[in-house]
Amino acid sequence: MNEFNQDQLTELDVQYDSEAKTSLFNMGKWTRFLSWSMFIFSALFLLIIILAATVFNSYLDKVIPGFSDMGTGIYIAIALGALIGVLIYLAAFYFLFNFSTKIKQGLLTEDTATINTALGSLKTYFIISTVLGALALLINFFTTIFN
Amino acid sequence: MYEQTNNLLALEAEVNPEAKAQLDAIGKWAVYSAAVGFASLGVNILTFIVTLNKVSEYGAGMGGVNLFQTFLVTVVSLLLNITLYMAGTNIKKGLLMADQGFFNVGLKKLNNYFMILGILMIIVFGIVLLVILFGGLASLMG
Repeated sequence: MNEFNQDQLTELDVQYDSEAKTSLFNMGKWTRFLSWSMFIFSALFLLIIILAATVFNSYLDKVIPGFSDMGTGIYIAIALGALIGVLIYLAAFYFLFNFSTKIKQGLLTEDTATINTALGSLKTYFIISTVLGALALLINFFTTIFN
Repeated sequence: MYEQTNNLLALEAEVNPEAKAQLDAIGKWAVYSAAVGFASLGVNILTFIVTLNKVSEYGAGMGGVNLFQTFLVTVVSLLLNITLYMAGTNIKKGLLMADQGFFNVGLKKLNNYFMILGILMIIVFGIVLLVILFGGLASLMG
């Protein structure tokens, strides 16, 4: 009787049916594309920052003679700041990439542990992106108010 | 391979308690993320109004460009955040009420959210390529 009730309860609970699995599978495809795109954009952004900082440094050296000597610290600070920003940003997309690979693997092999790991990665991605979004919102808000 | 994948996806599997906890957290954070997105949109509109007041001396053309840009950002941001909000609430509702319909709608909306982001990314790639192409052509001609 208990077993019967348990079976009925399981039937009543949510399942990974074909529709849910298809959504998760397609989500894996799009998140893979998104994470690769963001990896490429981040690499380009870093390259641009390094080039811009070099150009900016040499330009200021012409305007203010001897700037490169005192400006080395500023250059390193800008480069480090950009690097840290990009690394935090990349961490979020690493988790999205992890989700994309694990969810496909988990669904195809029907391995619930792999599916759970994938879902954990997606959760972490949302946490990081929400915190970063909230920080950007605060900065934007205060910039608007004080301007 | 395609048929094999479809056959595997057609099989039903149980959502175990650990997966439920992860999905519930995903739903919760998706709603928070959408809320932050809505708030950002509000701040962007506020920034637009402040900027519009400051640059009004540059003429109507400047304001027109800003208005179009803000309108575009508002539409895209609303579309994305409404989709994300609906994904989060439907997933949570599906898990709480053990309703397969809500659960599936939530996952479909989450898929739509990433699909919209992907399409936006393709558009951005296209624009970047066009800029590089026209920039290269302009430097060759100039």
